[in-house]
Amino acid sequence: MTIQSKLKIVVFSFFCIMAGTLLIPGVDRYLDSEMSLHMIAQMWGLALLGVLTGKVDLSFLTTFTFTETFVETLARFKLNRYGVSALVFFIGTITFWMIPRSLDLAVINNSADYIMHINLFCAGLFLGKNLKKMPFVLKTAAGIYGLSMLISVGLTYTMYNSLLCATYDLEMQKETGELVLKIFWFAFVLFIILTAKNLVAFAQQGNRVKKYK
Amino acid sequence: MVKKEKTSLWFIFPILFLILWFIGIHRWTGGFTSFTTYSYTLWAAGDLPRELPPFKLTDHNGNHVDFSKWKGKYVLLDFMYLQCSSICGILRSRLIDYYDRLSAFIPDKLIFVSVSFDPERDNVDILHEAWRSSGESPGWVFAVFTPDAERGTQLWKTHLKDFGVIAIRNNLGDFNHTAYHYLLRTDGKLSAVIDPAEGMEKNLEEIRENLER
Repeated sequence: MTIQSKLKIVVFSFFCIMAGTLLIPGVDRYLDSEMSLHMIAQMWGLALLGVLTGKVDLSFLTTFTFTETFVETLARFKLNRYGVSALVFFIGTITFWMIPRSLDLAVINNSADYIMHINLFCAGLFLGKNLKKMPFVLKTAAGIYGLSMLISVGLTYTMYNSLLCATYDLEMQKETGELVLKIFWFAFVLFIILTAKNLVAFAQQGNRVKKYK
Repeated sequence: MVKKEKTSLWFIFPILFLILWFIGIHRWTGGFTSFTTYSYTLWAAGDLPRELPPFKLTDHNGNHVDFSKWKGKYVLLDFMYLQCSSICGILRSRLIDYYDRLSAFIPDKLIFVSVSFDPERDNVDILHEAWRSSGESPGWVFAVFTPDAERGTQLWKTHLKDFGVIAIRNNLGDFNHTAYHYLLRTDGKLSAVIDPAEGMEKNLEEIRENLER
C-alpha cells in the first residue's frame, strides 16, 4: 500500500470518527441541549463532514471488502450524471431535517436522532463524492439555493415571535437565528469569491479555445 | 466498431426522489399546512367542531369536576402551568383583558377555564392563589388534571394530544406547550381555536361572533 493510500485511509477514518463522535450519548446530549448547537454544529456539521469525507478519493476502499460503492453503482447505471441525483438527495435531506417538526423529533426520539445522523452524513458523503461531476451552473444554482435557505431561516428565527420548535425556548430560537445570519454573510462572501474564481477560469478557458481555433 | 453510447437516464433518480420527497413532506406536514409540532398536533386532532376527550379535573376549590359541568355555556379554555416563566403569564394577562371586555356574557353565557397540565407542582392552594390574583372572578375556574389512579399522568397526556395540544418538558424542566385558546360551544364541542398571535381585537371579534351566533 502506498503512502498516499495510507494517508487517504487516515483522513477518511478521521472524518468517520468525527461523525461517530457526534453520536456518543454525552456529546449528543450536549449538542441537543442548545438549539444553535443542534442545528448548526450537529446537523450542518454532520452534512459538512459527509461532504469532506466524500471528497476523499474512495477508490482505495476497493482494496478492502467493497468492490463497488453505492455511488459507483449509480454511476454504472448512468443514474447520477452531472451529480444531480446527489444534489437533489442532499437538498431534500437538509430541507426535511430543517422543518421544525423534524427538528423536535430528532431531539425527543433517540431512533429519529440516529436516523438523522446517518441520513445527513450519507447525504453529505454522496454530494462530496459527486461535486467534481457537477457543472458550474448547477453548483451556482445550488449555492444560491443554500444562501436563500440560510437567510430565510435566519430571518424567520430572528423575527418570528412565536416558538417554532417545541423542544427549545424563544430565546434560543432568536440566538440561533442571529448565528445563522452571521453564517449567511460568511457563506455569501465565500460564494462570491468562489463564483468569481470559477468565472475567471471559464473566461480563460474560452480565450484559449478561441486562440487555438 | 464504434460502441454506441446507451441513452442516459440520469434524470430518473432525481425525479423519483423529488416525487417521493413531496409525498413524504405532504404527509409529514399535514398537506403542507403544519410545519411545527404544535400546528401538526392541532391538525392531526381533526376538523372542527369536535368532541372533547373525557378530562377529569380538580378545580381551585379542590372539587373534582369535568367539562359536562359547564354544558349550556360557552367555555373559553386554555392550557397552562403556573410555574411558567414565559408565555403563560402573558396569556393570563391577555385573558384578564378578555374577561373585562366580555364581562357582559360572564358567567351566564361564558366561563373561563384555565387548566394546568403540571399536577406535580400546581396543587389546589397554588391554583386558588392564581384565581385570587386574577381577580377572584366568579366566571373563571382554575383547574388541574387529576392523574388517573392506575395510569398516572399518561391518560390525560393522551387526551391532551387527542384534543390537539402538546406539552413537552424541555431541558430546563419547564414545559413548551401549545399556546392557543379554545372555545367550547354550549354542547361541549370544540368550535374554535383562537391564536393569540393574531392580536387581541381579532381574537375578541372571533369570540363575540361565536357567542352571538
